[in-house]
Amino acid sequence: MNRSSFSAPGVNTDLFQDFPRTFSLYIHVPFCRNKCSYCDFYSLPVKKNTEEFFRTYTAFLGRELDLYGKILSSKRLQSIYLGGGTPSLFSPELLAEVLVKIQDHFSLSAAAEITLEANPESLTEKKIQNYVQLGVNRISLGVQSFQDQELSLLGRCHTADRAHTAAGLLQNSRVNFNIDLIFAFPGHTVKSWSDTLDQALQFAPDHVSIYNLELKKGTPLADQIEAGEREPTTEEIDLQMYKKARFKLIQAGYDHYEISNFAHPDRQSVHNKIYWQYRPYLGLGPAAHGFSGQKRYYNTDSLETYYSRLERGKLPGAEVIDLSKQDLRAEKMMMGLRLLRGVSKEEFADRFAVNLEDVYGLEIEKLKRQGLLGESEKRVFLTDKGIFLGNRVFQEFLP
Amino acid sequence: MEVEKIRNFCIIAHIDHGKSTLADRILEKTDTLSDREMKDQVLDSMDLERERGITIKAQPVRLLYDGFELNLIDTPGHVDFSYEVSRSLAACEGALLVIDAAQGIEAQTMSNIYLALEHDLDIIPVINKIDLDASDPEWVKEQLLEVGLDPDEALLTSAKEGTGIDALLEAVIDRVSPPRDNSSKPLRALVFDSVYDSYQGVIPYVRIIDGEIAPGDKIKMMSNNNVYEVDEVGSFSPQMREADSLKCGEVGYIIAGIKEIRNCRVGDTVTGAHREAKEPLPGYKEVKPMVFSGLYPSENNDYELLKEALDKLQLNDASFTFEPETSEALGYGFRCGFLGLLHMEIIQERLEREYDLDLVVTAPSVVYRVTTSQGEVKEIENPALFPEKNKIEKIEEPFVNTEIKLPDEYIGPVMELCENNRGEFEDMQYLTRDRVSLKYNMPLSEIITDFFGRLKSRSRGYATLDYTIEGYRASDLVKMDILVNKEPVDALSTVVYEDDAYNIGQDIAKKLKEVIPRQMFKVPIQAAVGSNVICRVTIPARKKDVLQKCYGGDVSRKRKLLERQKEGKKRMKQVGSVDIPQEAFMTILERGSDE
Repeated sequence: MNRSSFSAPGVNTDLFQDFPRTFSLYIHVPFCRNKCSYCDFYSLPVKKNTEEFFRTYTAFLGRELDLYGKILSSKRLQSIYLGGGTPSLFSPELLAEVLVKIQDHFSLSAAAEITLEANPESLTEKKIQNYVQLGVNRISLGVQSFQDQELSLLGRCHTADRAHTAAGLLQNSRVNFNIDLIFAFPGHTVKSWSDTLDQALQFAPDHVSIYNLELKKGTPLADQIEAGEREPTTEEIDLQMYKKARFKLIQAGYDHYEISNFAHPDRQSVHNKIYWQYRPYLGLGPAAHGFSGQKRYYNTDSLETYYSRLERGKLPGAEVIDLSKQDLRAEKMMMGLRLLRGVSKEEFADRFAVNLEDVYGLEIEKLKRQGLLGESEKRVFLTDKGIFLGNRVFQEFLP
Repeated sequence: MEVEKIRNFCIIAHIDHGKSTLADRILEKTDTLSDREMKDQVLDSMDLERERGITIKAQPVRLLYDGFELNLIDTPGHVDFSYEVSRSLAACEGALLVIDAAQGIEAQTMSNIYLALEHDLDIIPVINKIDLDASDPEWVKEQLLEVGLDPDEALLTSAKEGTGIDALLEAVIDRVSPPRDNSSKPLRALVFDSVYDSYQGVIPYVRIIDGEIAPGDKIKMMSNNNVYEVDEVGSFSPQMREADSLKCGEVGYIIAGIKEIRNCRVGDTVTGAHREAKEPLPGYKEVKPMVFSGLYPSENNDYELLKEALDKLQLNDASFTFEPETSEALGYGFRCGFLGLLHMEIIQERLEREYDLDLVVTAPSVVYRVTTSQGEVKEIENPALFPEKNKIEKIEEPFVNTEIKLPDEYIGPVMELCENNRGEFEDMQYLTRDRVSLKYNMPLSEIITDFFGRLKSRSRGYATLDYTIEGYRASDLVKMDILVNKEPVDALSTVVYEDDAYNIGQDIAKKLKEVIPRQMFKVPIQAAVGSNVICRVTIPARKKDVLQKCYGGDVSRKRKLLERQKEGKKRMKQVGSVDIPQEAFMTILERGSDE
């Protein structure tokens, strides 16, 4: 792995020449009403003058898009994902500007998926209608829990009631939607988790994502645990919850297609699968990440720098990471095995011009012996045990 | 210089009573150093010595005052180095006994007085730090009377402010006897320290007791009969300064191409190879290390580096020993012997600092004397090497006399601590209205297991500890093994008092459960005495370990987490099929941690 600064001569053109004809677009919207107690992603609190603030942000996203419009020779998008942060803080008018700007420079494939992440407190019936009219065809709702006490522990600014309302609105609107849930946070019980899952299922979402809480140093929740104010959950409870969710969701007709993701047939997330399949995406906005298929890069994580670079007509990238052959293959395995279908041997051979067995024969054998990996004629994939112990599997492939 | 004009003296003092500062003032007063060369605690040349405020190596210096040659020998101030101190004293005729005017006579002061009397030195009591508000010279004088010294002879100084230094130098000339004039006798020079120089080899520091020595002389070390030719002699200013010869009564150094420090030990006698003395000077002994521990490189590749570093350190320090040792758990390393805990800490710190080594250190052990059923007596310093329990007739361990001084409000908890550590109460005395001296006989092994740390925590840092070796005593000791996943881990074996085995075993097992991460399978941890398992805890198997989110396509972040996990695993020591982190090997030290 080689790292170079974004402003290094020659970097930009090299990087962007790698992009294939069709790719995906991620737009980061790093603003929230307030920061959740477990979150260590880049986001800034916005309390007042939201509209004005977003107007400025929209303008700069426009500049970044203009620059890419000039640099990139291929311009077809198969998915757009507006993540955050809280993208649903965007008024439909400003979102329209962003989407128009995108289409000034890029064409969308016929079935392009356009996802917008939304928090329950900022979603109304009217807003949903407007978003859908603009072309948003998938909404991902950050519910996290249907219990008030838990929501307040997680530092969410919505109530269980508000989550119900928002999920109900989405269900009625018939838009394709996802519900995000978190489990295994301090004090979380299997019983309440089970109840949250049941409540989520009442709204018949097309897609459900479940994430166990990862404690990150420096977040309020991690601090409280370090200070002994809260007990973290045990690995046993975490596993029990994960199994519970898996059972309930599969019972309800969902397909467990990725470690954390469940979907009805034909409702798997196109955009997220781009990541798992290790295919290219362009990232816009501060702290956004992109991948050309050969190299990774990420934008500056300071809004100020982001603005000032764009003002000077420069891309706001912070660093480009050159990936060696070994890096690319390892990351392909690390990402690809997250999909429960696993990694196709044929696809691996096509992409890297070498057989999977020739590169990772020993690792695969070892993991099979440990009962973590399965193999068929065409693919290698995680076993049930391997799903729970995925990190052990992924580590084996890292150089 | 003729013998009548020479005075050889040392400064002896309890830690912190101002010895090094007083030495600084004496150097200034005698214009031994230019202002440019002067810095605080000149004679403590190692960074470590200055930082810790202790003297580790003896450092002589020649002072010229009023037509006299005064040789000052700065001595180490810690009980670990008492043999070295005794040899320095043997090189002198007089001693400045420095006593803190506020602290009074302390344990170390007493043992210093005894040492000085043993060597028949002229003692000049110096009551120092009279500038302090809390100073009470009259009270110190009363104490002097109690220990049989003439209080009227005591000098009052403030090394910090430089008062009383002239009077002190006059007193050295008037009251310290000149060396005996044995110029015509065959050469006998006492080695009281040495340094290693990569060009010159081992350079002994000597006091000429009989005869004289000059370049070109053939000399012989009387302990091993090795013969060398003298290249250079000289005195200390305090840097080495070449001279034509060293005469009877003088202090200086000899360069004679001596390769190895073990051929030139402290206490040995240098004589002439052609005109040999009949008897060596008295008092030579080979000092034996009291505390042992295994030193292993964290990275196996660093073994050679560690060996080189130990070799180099030993060039300067013959009292420190090391031998290659193999541990199933830790790989290749060395069993090192130290004079005491301070000595051990110093060596470890120097290895890590000066040689940039990352070490795994096993818990320190004393030397046990084991009598087998066959009547054979073995000295064993590595618990892992203990014979089977049924083959042991008797185990003896070293005991020490400890003296703990503390404010009386902490007596209760400190006595409890001593008694929990098999201490036998000897005596308690009020030193002042609220300061107490507690005396206990205790096994040395209890002292080296974080006793000092716990003592400090129970006395809020106010207690001080001194100990001297009393001798060996039989004890009901057993070797306790720790089994991880049913396999004994040699580096975790320890010798414990039989009655404490259960509690200590439980403590260690619990600690290990905390520091050893979950493995892919259940891992039992057992403490066992012989084949008898006395306790067991189990580390549950790793059940779930999988990262969830990949937010906004941030692959780097995910990969970093995985790499960190993988790296952490690599740094662990693999014992059987279990990955054990390095900190686990120190858990034995922290056993029975307080409250």
